[in-house]
Amino acid sequence: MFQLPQSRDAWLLWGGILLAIGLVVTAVSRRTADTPPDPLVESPAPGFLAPDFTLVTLDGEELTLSELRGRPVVLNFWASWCGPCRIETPHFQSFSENFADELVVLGVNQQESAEAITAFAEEFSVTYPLLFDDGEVYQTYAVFGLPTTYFISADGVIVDVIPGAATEAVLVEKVERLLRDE
Amino acid sequence: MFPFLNIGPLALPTKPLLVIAGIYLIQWVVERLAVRMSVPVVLASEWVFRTVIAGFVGARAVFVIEQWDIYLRNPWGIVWPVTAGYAVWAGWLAAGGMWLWFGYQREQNLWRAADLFMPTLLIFFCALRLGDLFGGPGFGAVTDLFGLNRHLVQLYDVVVALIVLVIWWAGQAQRRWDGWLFLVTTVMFTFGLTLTLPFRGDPILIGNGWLLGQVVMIGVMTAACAGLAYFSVEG
Repeated sequence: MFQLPQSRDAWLLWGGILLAIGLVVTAVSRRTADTPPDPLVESPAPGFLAPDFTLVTLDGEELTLSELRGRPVVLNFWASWCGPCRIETPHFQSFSENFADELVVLGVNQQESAEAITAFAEEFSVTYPLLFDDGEVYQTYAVFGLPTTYFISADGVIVDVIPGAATEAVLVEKVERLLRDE
Repeated sequence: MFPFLNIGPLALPTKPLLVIAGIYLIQWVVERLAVRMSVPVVLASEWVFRTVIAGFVGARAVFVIEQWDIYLRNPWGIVWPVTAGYAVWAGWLAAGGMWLWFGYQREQNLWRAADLFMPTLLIFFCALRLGDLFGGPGFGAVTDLFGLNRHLVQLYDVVVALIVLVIWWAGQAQRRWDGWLFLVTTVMFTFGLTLTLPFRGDPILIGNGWLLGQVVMIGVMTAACAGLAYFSVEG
């Protein structure tokens, strides 16, 4: 098919070339001074300010993320057809009840009808705000798949992101950390 | 993307399915390759099985230890599949340890076995990364390239592993000494991962912003290159 290097000299040459390329790539991809997390810049990544948004709740009221400053926020992107979202929802409901005075849980639904969201809320007895999103916030937060959960500190900075389904143990650990760091 | 495959009323978790398929595939592959490398088929099969089990147990045990205070409140969660979770790095270490120990106990030529087992590592790596792609974790860095939200870094890793598999396949006929194929593919694999690691969304950073994964890969690649140069004939 193709000939691989066999001799010592050939390996010294090829090894040197690959090593040089690897070192250049490693140096270039260093997270240098111009890319550290900046808590004053909005970006959907840990260390950055959580991008602000205003969405409508199931009750028809407008909710703006930045107005929740002062309390940590657990921002969960979900849809009723998403299996792992259904597994996680009882945990979020439990957080919203157990830490009602300490944190805010928000569920951002992905482009579903009010009927679907209402049925979901009734099925899981959800009392925390469920928000309608036409896809804009989903894009802003660079959500790759559902569910995705952002943990946002009281001063609006993203502390952690869980893309995909998380176990109860992981969610509890993240929430406890969020409250501990407050 | 597709954490669950919905077939009628059944919702099958994609990642575990891919991992199980990966285990089946590596068993199948190793049994066929063992003959070529003069390793007893039954022994090779048991070697794979024990390595995989050790990997899972190690990954799970370390995950539970890491979150011990939570599992203390819910001991049943340690074995309950719905609350499953794994420390992947610990799994690789445990699997590697078991692989070495088993080979040593059975007095096998570990270098020849390393040549034989390299494709199994690459195939299992592919299964894990595809599982991450469909299941969500191991996500890529934010991008607006091709209208995507994030780099499909899991796919980049799979492509690297597949290229290395082709190199392994081509290298079989050129193998001059035990361990040569293992070292060659290690060089290529670590080089490839050095290129894909910057596209990960959650790389571990060390001092001055260096990516820990890249530093480890460069170290392993250098060691493998040195081994190839040292053991190869002059010319």
